[in-house]
Amino acid sequence: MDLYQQKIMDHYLHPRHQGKIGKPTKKFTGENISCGDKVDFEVVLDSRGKIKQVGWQGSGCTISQAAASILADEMIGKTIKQVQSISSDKFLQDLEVELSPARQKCALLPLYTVKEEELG
Amino acid sequence: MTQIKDNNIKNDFPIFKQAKVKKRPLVYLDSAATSQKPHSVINAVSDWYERFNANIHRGVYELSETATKKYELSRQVIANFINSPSSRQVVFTRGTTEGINLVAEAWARKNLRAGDAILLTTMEHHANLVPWQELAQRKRLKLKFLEFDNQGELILANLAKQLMGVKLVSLVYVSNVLGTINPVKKIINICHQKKIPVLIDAAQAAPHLPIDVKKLDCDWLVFSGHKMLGPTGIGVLYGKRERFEEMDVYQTGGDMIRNVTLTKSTYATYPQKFEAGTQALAEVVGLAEAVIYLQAIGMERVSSHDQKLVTYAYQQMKKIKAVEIYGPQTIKRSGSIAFNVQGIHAHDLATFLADRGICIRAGHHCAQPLHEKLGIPASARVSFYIYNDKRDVDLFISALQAIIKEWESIKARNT
Ligand SMILES: Cc1ncc(COP(=O)(O)O)c(C=O)c1O
Repeated sequence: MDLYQQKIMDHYLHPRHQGKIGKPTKKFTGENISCGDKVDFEVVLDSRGKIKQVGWQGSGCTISQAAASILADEMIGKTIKQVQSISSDKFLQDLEVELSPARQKCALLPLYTVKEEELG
Repeated sequence: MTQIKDNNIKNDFPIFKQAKVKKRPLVYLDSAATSQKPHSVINAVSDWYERFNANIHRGVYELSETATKKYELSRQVIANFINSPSSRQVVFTRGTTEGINLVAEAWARKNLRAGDAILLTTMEHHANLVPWQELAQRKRLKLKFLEFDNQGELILANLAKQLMGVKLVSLVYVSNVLGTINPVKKIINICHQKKIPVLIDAAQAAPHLPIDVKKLDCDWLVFSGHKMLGPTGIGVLYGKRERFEEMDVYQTGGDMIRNVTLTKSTYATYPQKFEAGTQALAEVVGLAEAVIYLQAIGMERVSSHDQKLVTYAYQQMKKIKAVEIYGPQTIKRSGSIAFNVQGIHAHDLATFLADRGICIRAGHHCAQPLHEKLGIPASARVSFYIYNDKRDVDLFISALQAIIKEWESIKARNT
């Protein structure tokens, strides 16, 4: 039996960029009210507006937490605008896991947090 | 060890023949959310449209008269089911939620004054919390709460004192999360000594326990058809005569009037007074058929089957070290078991079980304050009904064990 594919489990068990960072330029906080999953992101920008450091904290299911780690990886070197323009479809592909519509919400919480949009 | 008799009840429910999950038979352990429907109920609904459909109460032609008869006969079936003194005390609603909103609007809004208090419990479904918050805000009422202990049982030691200033008590009969069967009769007695009326949310009780409103002496009792083998969109509000007489109108319009002029109207008496507009006719007939099905089995047997399954599942789950169960011992429990597995989030667990064809629910089950009290963001819940059998429990338990094992080994491989 499979639980989740390797990439998700790897990021869940070995989260990248987890924790607080010093003097963040900007903060994002998000919560999925319907299930209680939470994530916060902090970023430091370089002189050209690119993310040079990111730190996240959160609690919740495997999917939301692994997705935060995967997103954090993707954020480095991008401007906030560039991160915000990542499409849901593209990000879901990046997770390399098949998800039912209900669980896609868990997966998209980190991205929507940085997009500063409500999860519909 | 409890004996769970095999039965053929599953055969009465077409969904178990039709629905396959990933080529596996359906293991449905989410009846607290909504129940499956037997043939007889499905047929009653389609029969309505094929043979009886006409609007009730106004027609003089035969089809409409038959439709009216069937509708009012259904009311009588429900009245008998809950031992209501008269069928007039049975009002059809869209469900538990609407029943509670109806009492809040038509009774509480009229009869409570600023500063009055309403007593609820901290284990309520949002349906028995949010309408009262809304009313409290508009009328400047106070909300008070009975707490539950770490066994998931209501703490009644200080009830008499807590009733100071309380003008209405509204509480859940059976918790949809903890499964606790609350001692509602005892609570009603104490409240009535102080002349405080009591509304009972029987959404999870009506499917599983024999209900006798005369014995309970409750002022109102509400439940939903869809949790007890009936259609969605139909429910029941029972009320005492005195309470119904104290009530304002709820929704207004057709069917609930006596006489209408351009400037003023007079209203019909209950139950019509609370049934404005064309009702969910096919659903009413479907609900009556569900009740007839349950009565043929007998509510005592429904309840003991339930008790045996819950006990068996509870015992099997207790044997798994990583499982934490919330709520009381099985003897004081009906229908459902909420739990968590250490280290695996409830949503992940529900997904892993779904992959094996096992339907359970994960989340806050519309009881966020209850989960806050338990100090957990979410729980997983299995719930049972008459069509479940020992095999369903065994499949669930072995899937649960396999998932935990797999999870542990993935963790071991990745560290
Ligand atoms: C205890 C309890 N009260 C109220 C409700 C609301 O019922 P409905 O959604 O059918 O109105 C439910 C359903 O989940 C419930 O379990």
